[in-house]
Amino acid sequence: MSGKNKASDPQHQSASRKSVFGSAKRSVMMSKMTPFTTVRRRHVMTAQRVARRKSQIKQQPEKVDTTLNDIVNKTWHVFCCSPLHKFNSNPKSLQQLSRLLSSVLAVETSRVGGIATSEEIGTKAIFSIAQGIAITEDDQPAIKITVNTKDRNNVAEMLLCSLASGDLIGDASNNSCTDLKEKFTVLPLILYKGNQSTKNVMFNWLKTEFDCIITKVTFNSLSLAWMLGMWSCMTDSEEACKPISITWKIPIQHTGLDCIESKFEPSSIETLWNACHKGSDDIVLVEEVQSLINGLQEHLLRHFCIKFQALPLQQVCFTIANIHADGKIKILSPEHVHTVLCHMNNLALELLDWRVEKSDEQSM
Amino acid sequence: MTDMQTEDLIDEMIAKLDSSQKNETLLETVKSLRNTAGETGLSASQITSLCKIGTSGKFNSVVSGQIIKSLIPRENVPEEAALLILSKLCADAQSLKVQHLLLKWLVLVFDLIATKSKIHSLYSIIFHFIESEILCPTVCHLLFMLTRKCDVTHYRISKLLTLQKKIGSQPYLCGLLTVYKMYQPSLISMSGRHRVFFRKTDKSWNDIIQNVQQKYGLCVRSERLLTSPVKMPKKLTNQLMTSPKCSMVHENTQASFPISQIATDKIPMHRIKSFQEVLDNFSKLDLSCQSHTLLSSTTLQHIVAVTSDRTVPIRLNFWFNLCLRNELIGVAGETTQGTHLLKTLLCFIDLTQECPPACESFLFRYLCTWNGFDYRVFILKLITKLKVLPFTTLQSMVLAPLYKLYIFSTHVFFKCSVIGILTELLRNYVTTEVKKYEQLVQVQYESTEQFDDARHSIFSYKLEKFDANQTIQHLIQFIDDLCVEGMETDDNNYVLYFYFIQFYKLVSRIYTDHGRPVLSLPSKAFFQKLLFCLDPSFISSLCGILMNYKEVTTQMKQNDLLNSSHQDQIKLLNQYLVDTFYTLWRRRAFHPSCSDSTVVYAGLESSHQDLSDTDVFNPKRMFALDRHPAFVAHAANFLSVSKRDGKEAINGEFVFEESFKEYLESHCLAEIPRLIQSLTTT
Repeated sequence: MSGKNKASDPQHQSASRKSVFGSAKRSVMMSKMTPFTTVRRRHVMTAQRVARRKSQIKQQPEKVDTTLNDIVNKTWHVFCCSPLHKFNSNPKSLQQLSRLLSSVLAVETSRVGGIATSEEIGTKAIFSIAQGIAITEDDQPAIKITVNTKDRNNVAEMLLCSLASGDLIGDASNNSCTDLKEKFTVLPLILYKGNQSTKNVMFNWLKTEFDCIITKVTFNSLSLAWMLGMWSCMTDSEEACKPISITWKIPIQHTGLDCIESKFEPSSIETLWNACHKGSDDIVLVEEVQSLINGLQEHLLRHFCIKFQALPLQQVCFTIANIHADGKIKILSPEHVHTVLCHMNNLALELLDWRVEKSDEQSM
Repeated sequence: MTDMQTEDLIDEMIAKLDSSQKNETLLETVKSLRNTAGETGLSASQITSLCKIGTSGKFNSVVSGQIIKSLIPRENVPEEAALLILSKLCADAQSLKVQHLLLKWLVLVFDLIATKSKIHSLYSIIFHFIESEILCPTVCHLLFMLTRKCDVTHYRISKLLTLQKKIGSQPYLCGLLTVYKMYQPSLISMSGRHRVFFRKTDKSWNDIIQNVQQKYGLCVRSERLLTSPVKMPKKLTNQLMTSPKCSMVHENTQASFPISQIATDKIPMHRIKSFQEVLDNFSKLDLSCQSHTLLSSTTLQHIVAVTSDRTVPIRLNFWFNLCLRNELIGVAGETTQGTHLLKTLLCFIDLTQECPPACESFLFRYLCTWNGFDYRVFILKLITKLKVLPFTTLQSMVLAPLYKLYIFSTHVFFKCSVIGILTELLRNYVTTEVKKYEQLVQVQYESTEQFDDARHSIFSYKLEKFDANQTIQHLIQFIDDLCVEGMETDDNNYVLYFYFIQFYKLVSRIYTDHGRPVLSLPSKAFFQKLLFCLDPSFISSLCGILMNYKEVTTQMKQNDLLNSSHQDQIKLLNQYLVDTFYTLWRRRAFHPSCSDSTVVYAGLESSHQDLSDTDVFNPKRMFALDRHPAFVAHAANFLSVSKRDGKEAINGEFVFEESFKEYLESHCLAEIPRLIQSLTTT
């Protein structure tokens, strides 16, 4: 097993040597039918697996569990953020930023006060470093922003993080890249929970302050299928396995039916996945994912006479997380926070590193 | 009543007020003025003159009050009016009631005042009015809106705090103090909670102003929005925005100074209006604000091209990347934002002559589901700007989707534009892109000095190594295939032919004009179709193209650039030349009279061997210059113009005469005699 891993390592190296600053090899593949890309294969990244692969792992402080527990069981909206220009994460400048954002929020509150929406914009923002999210030494520490109202009601929480994406930022050997690394802070993944108006204010502020651009991450059917393949067999040590639910959307309106939900026993999905999935445990290929979803669709066609191939996936729920196509995620198991976030981080990076290579013959 | 009439009426009333002395008519005029103003509002100049009258002090407070109440702005309020009011306040000419009313009016129309820099310079004078017990709430409100960071001083804070001690913690004082605290959090500590700082007392007055604004003001505003180019996001222009880096803050504090007097070492980009200013202040430009503001004018775009701050192009690239994705990929149909974005992008590329990497990958993605219709002009234009790519990439990402659209399109116009832009792409490659690529590769792979390609390219990226000439060669081959397909599917459409000829004119001159040793001949089908087409100018162009090829091969031979791979091409060129010559000039079409190495007549044999050479139906001379379907009309015309016997057409000897050559030259067909001459002399 270990021998096999070693053999695949150089390949892995070359596959992931893309960079957001655009100096390495292209690695994203595109199918001929849609403008949205996917990659040929993915690594299922759990914290342990990242630890196994990378040499420099951050020494995690004691109170990691509280941070991770904070993330669990909440619905987060996922966003992707381009590298922040001139961002500094030392405590003093974080304090300054807190003050700055607070005053911007205060101004916004006084401005929209007249129109009086039901949503309340908070007035106090606190920047802090969320320990325990970044895994490797290369990663920037995750930044957490909480916004409170005067009455200490929490209206918004935001996490800017970067996980195991150290080598994606650029060749360390390249002088010009290290130069850029100093000027930019790469925190590609943003998780946000809170109301809409506060979000708008915060995002606008981030955009003007650090000249970044923030965009929503949505999951199309293929990316949901990826997650289904990668995560459906994962279990939580503390909680019992719950049925895996897959929701399909009806793309036509006014049919009286919005979506179809189907539930499967985890064990039967596991059997199906084992039939599709060959080779090493943590490398998943796009063909395997496709055949898993095809198998499910065929099964459903046989039983319900509904052609699920024609329906887009809307939501997948399994033991470790619920994922909605709109870009909403809810992580259910503290063990697997890193697993889910690593993948989200990779998706965000794929959005940023937007280059493509020519279509593969095997592409779908 | 039309607008013009109302306008005149109001003017008349204002004039009456200005001169009137009597009391009875006065009240009526004021009343009707107030009604009309409430319906249609007053123009900027009317507001100024009415302000003068209202504050002149010649009426009693009731009348003045009525006049002030009728100051309903239609568009915006000139700054002079506001200044006038403030100066009259200082003169203390009116009763306190009128003064209060004037201040209230200023608060109500504050957002509509055109410019505020002069008012702002009166800040300290306005501040003194807080002493007055009656005016204080309104003054606080006005200051609340006017305050900027530089206005917050120790003196003013202590003044406010003493006042607070005296009259208690009034909501309006708290409101002003909150703003102060926001700018200088270290100086003030505050407790006390107020949800509403400033109570709205003049609701009906405000409603009238709002109504008139909605009727007239809004449409003006929306027009302004439509016509303005890319501006900073509107939110930024609000003066209360406190972000220190945001350039609009600089605008407020320094807008009134000329650039040369800006004291800080950084000049915000949006102050730069002309190219000269860019040059003068180059080292002082503040590039830390949002980089896409640089796209708003061509002057600022120059900065991107020359700045040494390498983060600017990178930030710009990220911006393009995600914006293009959000606005265009996955959005069906055309949107105004999408069009605007593409226009901006094209304008930027035109200026910098460099395609951002984000734009390239956007095209790759967009083309694979493009319907050939949305944003056609822009997308096609973008394709011509692509940088040199390995042909396999170019083929699968750009050419394959285009090919599909080309084949299935029923519009000749679309086919023409595809051929047109591919020709343009090729031209761009041979004139600049390949050279640029080769320089960059040399810097990146061979140069021993520090890796620094910023001098050669704005968006630096690691290049793959490949043979750029090979890409050109394959691209020509691809377009040639398109030409042949187009000829067959579109029933020999001559508009399409025109584009094909333009393309080959470029191809045939690549070596002579740009020094690239690329030799690629048109395919046989193309040659054949052109040789027998019905338009003399196309045949003439064909001759010109063949001439170019002839020159190119001789030159390449002289420079020792021909190798074995070119042998096939040279052989083919010779066949083309011989066929043209034999057909048009030597009257030896078809086997067995034609040359042995013929391309067009391969397998075609004429059975009329026993006919004499002058016979009209002789196939051998069917396509000679005097009989060729394209030239028959010219031959006849030549004979009639030169007043010669029509019978001469039978033996057709006149074509060998010098005067026929001159005739052809005068009809823009000079390429034919040129080619023939060059072939007969050699």
